Amino acid sequence: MNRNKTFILTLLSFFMLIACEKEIEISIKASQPKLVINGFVAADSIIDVIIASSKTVFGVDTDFVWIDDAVATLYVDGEEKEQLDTYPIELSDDFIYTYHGIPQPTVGYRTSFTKGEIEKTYMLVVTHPDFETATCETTIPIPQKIIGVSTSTEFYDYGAYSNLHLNFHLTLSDDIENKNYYRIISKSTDARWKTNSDTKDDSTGYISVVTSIGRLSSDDPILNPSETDVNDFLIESPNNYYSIFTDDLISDDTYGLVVYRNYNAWVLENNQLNTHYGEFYSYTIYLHTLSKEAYLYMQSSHAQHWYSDDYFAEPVQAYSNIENGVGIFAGYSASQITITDGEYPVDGVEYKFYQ
Amino acid sequence: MKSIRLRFLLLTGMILTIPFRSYTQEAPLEQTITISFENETLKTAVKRIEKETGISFAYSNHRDMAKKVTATFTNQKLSVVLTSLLASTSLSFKEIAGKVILYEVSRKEKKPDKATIHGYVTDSESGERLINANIFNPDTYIGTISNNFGFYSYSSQTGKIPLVFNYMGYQSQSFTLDLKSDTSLNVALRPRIDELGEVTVIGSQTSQVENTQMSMINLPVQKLEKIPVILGEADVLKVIQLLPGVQTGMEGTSGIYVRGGGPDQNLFLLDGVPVYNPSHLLGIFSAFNPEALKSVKLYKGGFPARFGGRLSSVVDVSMKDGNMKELHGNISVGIISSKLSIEGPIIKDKTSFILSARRTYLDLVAQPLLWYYNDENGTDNDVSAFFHDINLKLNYIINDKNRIFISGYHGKDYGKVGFTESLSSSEHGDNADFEMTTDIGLGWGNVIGSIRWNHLFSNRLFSNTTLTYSKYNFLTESKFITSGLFEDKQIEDFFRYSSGIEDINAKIDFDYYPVQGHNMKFGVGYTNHYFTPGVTRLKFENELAGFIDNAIDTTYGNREIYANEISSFVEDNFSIRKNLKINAGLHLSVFFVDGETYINPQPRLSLRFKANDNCSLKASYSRMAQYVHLLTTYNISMPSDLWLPVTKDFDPPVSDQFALGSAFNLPQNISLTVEAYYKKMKNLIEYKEGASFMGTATNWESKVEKGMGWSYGTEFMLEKKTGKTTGWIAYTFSWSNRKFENLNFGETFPAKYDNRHDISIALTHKFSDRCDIGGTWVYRTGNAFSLAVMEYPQAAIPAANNDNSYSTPLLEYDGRNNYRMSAYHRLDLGINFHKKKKHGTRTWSFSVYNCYNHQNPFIVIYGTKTIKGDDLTTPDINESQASVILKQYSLFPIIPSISYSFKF
Repeated sequence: MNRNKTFILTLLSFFMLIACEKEIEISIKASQPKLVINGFVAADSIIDVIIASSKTVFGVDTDFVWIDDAVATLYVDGEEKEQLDTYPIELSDDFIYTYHGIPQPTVGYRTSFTKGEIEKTYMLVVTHPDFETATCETTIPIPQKIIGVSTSTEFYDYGAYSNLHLNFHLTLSDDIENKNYYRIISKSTDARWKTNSDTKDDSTGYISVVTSIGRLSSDDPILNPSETDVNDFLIESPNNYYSIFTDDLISDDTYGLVVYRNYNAWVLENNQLNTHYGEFYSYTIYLHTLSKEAYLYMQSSHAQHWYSDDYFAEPVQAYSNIENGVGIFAGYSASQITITDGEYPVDGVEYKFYQ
Repeated sequence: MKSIRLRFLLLTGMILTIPFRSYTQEAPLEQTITISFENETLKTAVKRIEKETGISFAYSNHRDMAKKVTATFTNQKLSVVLTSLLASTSLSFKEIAGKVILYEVSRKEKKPDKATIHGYVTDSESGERLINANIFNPDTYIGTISNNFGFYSYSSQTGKIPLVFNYMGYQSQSFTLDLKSDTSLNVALRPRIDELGEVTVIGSQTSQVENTQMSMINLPVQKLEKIPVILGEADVLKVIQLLPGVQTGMEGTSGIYVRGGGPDQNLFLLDGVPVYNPSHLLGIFSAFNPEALKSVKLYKGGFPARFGGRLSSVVDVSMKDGNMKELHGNISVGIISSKLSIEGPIIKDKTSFILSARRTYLDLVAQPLLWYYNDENGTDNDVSAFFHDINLKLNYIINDKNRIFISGYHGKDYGKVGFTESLSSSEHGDNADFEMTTDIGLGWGNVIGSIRWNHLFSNRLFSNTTLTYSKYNFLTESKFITSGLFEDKQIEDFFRYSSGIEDINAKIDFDYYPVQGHNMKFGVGYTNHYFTPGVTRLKFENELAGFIDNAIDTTYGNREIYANEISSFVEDNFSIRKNLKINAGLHLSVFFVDGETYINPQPRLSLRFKANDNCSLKASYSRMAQYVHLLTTYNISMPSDLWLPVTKDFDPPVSDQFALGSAFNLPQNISLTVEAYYKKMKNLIEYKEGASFMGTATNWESKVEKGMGWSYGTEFMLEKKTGKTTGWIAYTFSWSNRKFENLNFGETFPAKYDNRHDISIALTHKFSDRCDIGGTWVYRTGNAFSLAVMEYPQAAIPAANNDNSYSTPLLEYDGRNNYRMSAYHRLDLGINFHKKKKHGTRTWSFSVYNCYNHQNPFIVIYGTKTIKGDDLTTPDINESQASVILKQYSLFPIIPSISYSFKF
């Protein structure tokens, strides 16, 4: 199908072949930098945001300016709670909040005592002498639950390319009265025996625990609303990068969802779990109940990147709920369930953790 | 000239066979008078007329002389005044020896007091029936127009009736008929012929001022070839783009956006049959071969009730019927295509035909070069691309009351690429040498056919029964064969995608002329739509053993959709006062699809108030409904664009349009029309942001949003149809906005082709019979597009994957379509040299597109340029840096072209 895509794009490029390129001076109305506020508010966590300044896309690329002298005041359900403190950013080991691949902020703002609570509404007012005052608001939604889980495996025989699906049969709760937004993700933990490199002695060593987060695959239509279109043979729809979905197709208060992780069968076969040394696998499935703002931001920001190279597509505007600014301030809540193959922890076993 | 004179004598002889006498001046009754009567007796009124005019009257003390009259006459002939005053009496008048006698009409003489004249208006030389010819009484200005088949019916009081037959480009004919009973009068008008045998447009008198219809432009088909267009190919749609209220899509293409509407809101009719894809070669050429056309009308608003199915415009194209008198033809050779058109009688004055064909021939010219290349290089490359279209029409007059037309159109675009690659083992590791053969084809086209039967039930009731078939389909397929990898085994990978729409329609329309001044049209039609929105066949065969042996041969795609549509209409064009004319009607359509039924009554109303002979005011309201959507790809006309019916989730789009306007006749036969309009559209669809895919059939509803739109503006058109210099200047000042709940975060945004100012100038000038020139200049505000000028860091998504692609910041858009490309302007010039030869006239045409080579914007995208040294904006950077800029790409530079044609 990609060949057809190439062919038809070649036809389109007929125009480009005879096109003339011209650098133009564009008359742009004065666009002042705006305050950027980025932060997600989770239940039982402190409120933590990044404040920066937007910048022009034209000219020589420059770094973003991270603002460390703004005044950020938090209101909870309409009442002023506290002024956020600044702190220097250090990369967190917590997988829940990493900055991999994203322009690194140097300073953050966080509450000293206020933590997110379910169904509370949080409003942040940010003032700075160089910018218009920016405000934003979000509510932490009631978390829906992963009620149950079971697993199964399916083998797909493609010779050397055979693979194995590890299926998770989840039962999710849903609030049928309200429209809900969800996200499903997993953290896998692969704990393997490592020989001590200093002694080279097989009898001495430790368990290397590597955790990684991952997008779960699924054939369920609620996670693949656009992938059912087999005729999108020219330009594929964006994948569901953040594994988000709505309850539009859920008509009951529970929903059975099958998600899976895909393994190369050969690798799996030659890499059997050896519980004798204390090796184990662990899978934690997270169900995030997202605020509408969080859902729209994840959907639109990914779509903007996805279509950024398609000159003919209507550009995607990234969702923002920052008044007089840009960015996102959005709440979510989480529930989780963990499945472990093997034992953890085992007395006398040394564990080293990696990410 | 000799033959023209002969034809004129024959024509005169023919007319002499009809009872009439020449219209001669009778001084007293011809005298004009301005006078008012306010509740006065007829006797008093007559005395005042006597006093005003000095004309003597003779009359008895008939009881009707005591009747009261109230009326105002301004510069009217006395005969008109008396006709009006005596209308409700049993009196009549006549002039004897300079005195006007009022007398009672005897019962015998009174019956019949009304009669109907009917017949056909034709071209005296070709027998071609003339559409919208004016037939009117020059005294009262009450009249009618011929319908799409040249038929007219005019009811009048018996007696002496002056009648004028008038048609643009033809000599008017005036008669005074002594009408005693219903009369059949076929009138053959003589074209204004110059030495080259070409029609010289001389104007149609007060057509814009007289017509009730507003927002309609009758395109001068005869002028099409004089107006220069890209690559020298005369093109109907490109000339329509030069009219006020019509925006152009992508440069060089035939797309039209009428009064803020979308590309799928235009109904293209070829002899009444819808054409779903009216373009060739990705929209660069329209599917209408100008050689075969008789008339082209563009309706932008004030839609008569007989039209329905699209929101924004109707392009009503009529093919020629074929010359009934003698054989004629035209051969044309251009740089892109050649055309042949031939027409003539099969049985003189009884049966005629017209055949027009056109084909591009770049592929034929390139073929020898390709053969040579293949021969030299041992390759078997095959590349081809062409389009052709054929129009055929037969026209058979059975008798005075019955006539049959059979017409067909076939247009096709096709492109293919084929080649074989020999791949060596060194390129593919340890594999053996092998070959990969690639064949890719792409084709699309329209097939249209119709059978019409004209039948005259009576001199006041004309019917047209039509059966039509219209089909558009698109097909692309590719085949990849890999052979030689292992012995004689091969891998075959085959792909085919097809889509289309097919309509079968039956309808019957009537033209009914119940009384003088009323012209009713009504009809009913049924259409069966068959949509095949996209079917894909995949085939994969692998004969190699021991590898992935999963042969596939499957067909999948969208289900076929059947829909049925019933439409009916009734309209009446009538006068309620001498200067107030109304066209009122109702179009009712019912659409059945997927168990859903949509019923849309669509009222239509047009008013024309004639202030004086040179000025009229017009107003109109029309509601239109549409049952099909066009899912387009990008912003150009792609053959893969899909027509789909409305669904239960997407109601039919509906528009309400109000228009106010005026028409003026200025000196030098210049006309000026000014129109203001407001159009509101609901249930529109737009792709969601980011969507730009092809072949979207399944689940397409999830990829579009529904919302509303509105457009408003003012259009000016100054037009000169007579003299050596003809043409028009059009200016449009307009807005077109959209509002969708889920686009632009619910905020209103401008439509892509919201061009605030749009100016088009199209002029032709005839220096002599041997040389004429044409030129067009267009200017319009740049198209709207979405541009981000600021960027900001993306938030860290909780528990997100690590992905370097997300080091890209997010772009901030102020809103959808928030910026404008630079203004578009272009000058095209053309010159034609004619020379009369023994068997006809040859013409050499030279034209230049985009004369001053203005780089008009096609697309604006981000780019980079390297800046060095002093250009650096950052002082501490000493090396070259990439600086982000905007780059504009333009499509067509200056393009000269040449063509040759020969008319016989």
